[in-house]
Amino acid sequence: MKNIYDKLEIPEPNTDLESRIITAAMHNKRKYFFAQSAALAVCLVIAIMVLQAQPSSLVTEENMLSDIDFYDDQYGFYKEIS
Amino acid sequence: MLDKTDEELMEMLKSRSAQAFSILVKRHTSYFYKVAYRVVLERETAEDIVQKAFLKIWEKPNLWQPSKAKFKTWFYRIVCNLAIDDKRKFKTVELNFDVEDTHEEQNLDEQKLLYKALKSIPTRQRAAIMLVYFEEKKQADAAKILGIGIKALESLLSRAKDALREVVK
Repeated sequence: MKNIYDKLEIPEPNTDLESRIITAAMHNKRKYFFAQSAALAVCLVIAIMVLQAQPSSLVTEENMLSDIDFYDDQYGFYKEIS
Repeated sequence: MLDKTDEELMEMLKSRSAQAFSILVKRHTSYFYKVAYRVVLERETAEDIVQKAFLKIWEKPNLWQPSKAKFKTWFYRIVCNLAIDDKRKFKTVELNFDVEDTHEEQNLDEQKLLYKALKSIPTRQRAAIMLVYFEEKKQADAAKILGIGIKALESLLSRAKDALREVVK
């Protein structure tokens, strides 16, 4: 049975097969990089939109001061700050 | 870099080393093209299968687990399975050579018969024959590569031999 395959003539592959494989892999690498960058950009845009829609959640000076005012009644040491 | 083993290159591939990938491709393309060809019996398909197999290890190098198998054994399995799973309808290849003398003519007839015989059996049976009789792998290893049990492999081999005998008769 081994003779069968021994006798089988195998045509040579295209001479550029190796470079074709390497080029395809590098092309996929770039595609992966762009897809990753695009996904990151989309996430960033969504995060900005969410934050803009809820201004009260932002850490602003105003919000911090209102927190201090709240705590002012409970803890004496904030008094000096306000 | 060229003196590194396949296993070392695979480790480098996990950190996306293009150079390691390139060395693996240059080192193994020719051998695995022949493996794929013996299963699919079609040049372009065999080339595509080798390309797919290499792209698979480039995209997911973590699929290889060094504790389970050597790189070549594992990659052999990938190529064989891709070749078996290839659902494309193979084109009929015309063996069209210019025949100049009787010896060549005889050789051509033999090639045609051989090609016809191998083509007449299902891909899975061809892969089993290639692994056991050509690559001389142990039945247990061949069964593992094909993802089947030893009894199923024996059955594949037996059916393949019967079918080949019929065609060659």
